Amino acid sequence: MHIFIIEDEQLIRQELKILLENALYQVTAPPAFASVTHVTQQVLDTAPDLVLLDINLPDISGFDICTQIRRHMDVPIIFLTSRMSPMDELNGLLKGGDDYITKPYQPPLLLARIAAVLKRTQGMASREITLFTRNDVSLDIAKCCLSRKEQNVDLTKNEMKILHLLFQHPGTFVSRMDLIEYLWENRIFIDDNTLSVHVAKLREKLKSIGVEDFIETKRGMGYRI
Amino acid sequence: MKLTDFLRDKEMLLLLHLVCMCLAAAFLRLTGYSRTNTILFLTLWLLLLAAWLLVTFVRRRKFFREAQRILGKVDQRYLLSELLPDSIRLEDRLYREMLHRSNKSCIERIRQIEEKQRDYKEYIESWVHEIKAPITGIALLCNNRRGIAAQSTISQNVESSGQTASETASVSKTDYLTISLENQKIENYVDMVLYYARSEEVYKDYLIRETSLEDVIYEILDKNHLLLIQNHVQADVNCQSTVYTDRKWVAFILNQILQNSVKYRSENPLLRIRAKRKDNSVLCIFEDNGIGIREEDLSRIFDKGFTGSNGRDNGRSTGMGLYLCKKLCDRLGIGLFAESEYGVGTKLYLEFPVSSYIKDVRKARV
Repeated sequence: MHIFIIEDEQLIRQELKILLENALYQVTAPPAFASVTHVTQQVLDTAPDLVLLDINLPDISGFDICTQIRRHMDVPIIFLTSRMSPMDELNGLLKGGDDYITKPYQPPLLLARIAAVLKRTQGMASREITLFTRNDVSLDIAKCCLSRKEQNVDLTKNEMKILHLLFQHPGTFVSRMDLIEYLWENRIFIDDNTLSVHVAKLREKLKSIGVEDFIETKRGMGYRI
Repeated sequence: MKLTDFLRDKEMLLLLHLVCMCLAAAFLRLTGYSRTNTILFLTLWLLLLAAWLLVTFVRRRKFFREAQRILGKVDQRYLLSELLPDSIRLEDRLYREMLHRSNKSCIERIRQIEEKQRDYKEYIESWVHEIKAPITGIALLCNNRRGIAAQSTISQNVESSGQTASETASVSKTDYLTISLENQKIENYVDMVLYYARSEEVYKDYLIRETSLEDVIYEILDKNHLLLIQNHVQADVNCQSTVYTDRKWVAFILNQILQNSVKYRSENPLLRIRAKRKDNSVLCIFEDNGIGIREEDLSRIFDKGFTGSNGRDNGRSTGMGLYLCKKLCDRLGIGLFAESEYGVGTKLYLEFPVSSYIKDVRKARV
């Protein structure tokens, strides 16, 4: 997936590029915007899958760029802007934008909305793995259960999310903070102590299917499987 | 205007007439007029004078009554000089001319101040938009660096190389977290400025549409997740209602309430956010188990600049948050009430009206 960033603030451009690259997108972010036609030409040459467009650019307006791009190609466009009046939002959508995100944005939210637009426009099936296995123990996301050989045990939503993240990073420690953040992103709003309770319950469930010491704890580092 | 007041006003004139009458009577008597004739002459004089005074009084009273009536009817009272009834009297015309000039300068001054205020407001709004770029930059940078720091901690740990290196990495991770949190505070204060500047003219800037309360709640919880996790807050959300309102403004209001709950938290903070359907409204209940509000403070929490005993103990209150919430709620037609038990927790109720018209239209469509 190729994303084209049109943003004049150097810091935001650079950090946005890092953020998207970390999320495994290919990113093009030109540093200068001479004119509307020039930028449009750049976009056409690159043929990206998605354009992130700032509205307030020096001398030119993002709305004009959007109109120009729309004349030539049908690439999805997301407006990123600090303007926030309903008129601007309406204007953006009328000019052919696919989404409108106001600054300052939350990085996870931004990534989620980019993914949503890409999914909608490309019909891209999410490549999410639903079955994880490590040391005989497998986690079935679809069935929400944990199994070893023939033995099964059902998980609650919270427990499954905890294991989901751990299974995504086998062999590395996942800090408690990262775990809680991940849970919050998945709309499970719990605190540190409750996390400990859930992990203790998980250990019991693991024990019931005959697995011990599957989740390793290290003080100050977090959990590892 | 009373007759006695009027007569007192004409004191000097009456005195003059009295003196003239005395002189005239003395003169007539001396020049040989009879007593009856002199009395007749004086009576005639008095009658004429009385008639003249009466007519003047009635006309003046009519004029001022009319002016009073106009003054009572117009809402911009400084425009009186334009509306005064016509008068042939020189004094009236002169006063009117002076009033006119004085008012003109007053109106000019008002325009000037209005313009200045508008300029200032526009500047504040554009400033807020400008400041959001660096805030976004800092937020993104911290988020990225935090990720990198986390990765390096893990990899260094796996290789179990150099204890010090991993220590510095983990220190910088918490530093980035702290910067992120402080940055969010800045963002929040900046938002308050923007909404304060706009609070007078909500109607210019809203877009009423069907809004899912749950989505708004999730949005503000997401936005504040670092702050909430840092403070060990748990949240329980159950609000599957939709309301007709402006999403952005409601998000701002709920965000202020959330900030307060975090600021005045106690042990094991828990937020419970629920929605209740009522006949003609949807009630959103935002409950925390924080330190609560003292009974004597409760009625004043929505006042501007009121910090209460909690605020004084806390030392960081500006008394603006809830004041703004109330103001915006009033503008949006949302009811806002608080209930609290000191030491137990606080409940804030947001009551969103549901128009029966919309319900009817919907029913008709179904």
